[in-house]
Amino acid sequence: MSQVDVNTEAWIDQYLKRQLSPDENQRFESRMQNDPDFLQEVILRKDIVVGIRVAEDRQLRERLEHIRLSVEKGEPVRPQGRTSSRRLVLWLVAAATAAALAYALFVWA
Amino acid sequence: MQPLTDTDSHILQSIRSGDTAALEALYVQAIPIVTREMGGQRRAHKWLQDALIRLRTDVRNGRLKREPNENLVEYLARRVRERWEQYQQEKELDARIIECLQSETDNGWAFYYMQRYYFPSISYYIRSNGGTEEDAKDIIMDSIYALLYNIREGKYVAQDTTKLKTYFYSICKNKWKDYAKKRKNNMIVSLLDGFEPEDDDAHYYVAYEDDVLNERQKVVAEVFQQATERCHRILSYFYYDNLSHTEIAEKMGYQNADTSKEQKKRCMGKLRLALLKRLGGNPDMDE
Repeated sequence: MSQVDVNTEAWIDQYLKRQLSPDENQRFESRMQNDPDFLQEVILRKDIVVGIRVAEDRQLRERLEHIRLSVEKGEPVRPQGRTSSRRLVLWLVAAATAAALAYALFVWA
Repeated sequence: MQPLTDTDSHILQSIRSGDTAALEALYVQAIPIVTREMGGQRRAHKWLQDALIRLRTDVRNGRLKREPNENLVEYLARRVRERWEQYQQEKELDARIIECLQSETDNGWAFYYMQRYYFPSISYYIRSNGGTEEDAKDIIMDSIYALLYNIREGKYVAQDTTKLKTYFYSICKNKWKDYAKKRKNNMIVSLLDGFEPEDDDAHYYVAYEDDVLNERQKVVAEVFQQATERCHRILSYFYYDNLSHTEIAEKMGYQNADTSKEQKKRCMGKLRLALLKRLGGNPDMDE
């Protein structure tokens, strides 16, 4: 199956995000049963969504690991993740400094 | 439940709206606690990271379960403590299972235990890969015999780093792969089964480990990293954080939800194409 149209794409998204009503869900599943191309497209898209989520989890873990190393070395931590909140960024930098200090005290003790 | 502190509600709101910096902020706060309590063990830090990733998923799904009066940092510290307790219990159990399987006469308990407690995650794996619960039961039984054989032949040696569970999963996984190959034609595709990790922790921690993903999902995870910054954000907002197109439009500075919908479709199309290219252009390829 080549690319699907906007509505079909939205329909598949709703199915994968479990946003369809039981009736619609049934309609969707019977389409999959009767249309092998459609089924393959849904499976493909399901894999894409799983892949995106896995990639996001990994990326977050990498950033956290980076932060951990900075804290252990007593280096300043700068948020790298997405944010639209300036207040959060300021707070994060303050918290990171405190954490690095606490860590240093712990090691020293 | 006590009202949240100002910072906690701010952080939760940020996580819900897809701000990953909020998670980093929480992490930084929780590090000293975990360091103090667990003496800075590498393992404990990994568990803390797991707890944050889990927190993000739970917030997305509206399934965050906190004790009364617990703030977010305390919540994370509790999750790590629970993992630690679970780890110690599992270590003792591993030793008991192995000892039990080694005994010629009395290994009924080990059989019972493994069938009962390993079932949820193995069944999860098999259902995500085209099988049924019944298949899972068969595979577990076959795998226990294989493990028994390996232990008696000295092919399995208990190690501190590899849990018995992990080893057992790999046996189950290989058995399922063989089985699935033979039965390719009448596989039951139950798409949503096993798609979203369910409430149970056992499911969750196994759900996104590499050996549970199929080839295509692994490739997507790689290809996605090469997406443009813009596409990366839109697709994460939409598929990871479950934001609506109205919310995405606001975050991306688009005029309205329709623009967001259009952009998301375009990004998805690009990702889909990059994926198929990498897989050799065969959209029907499943493994």
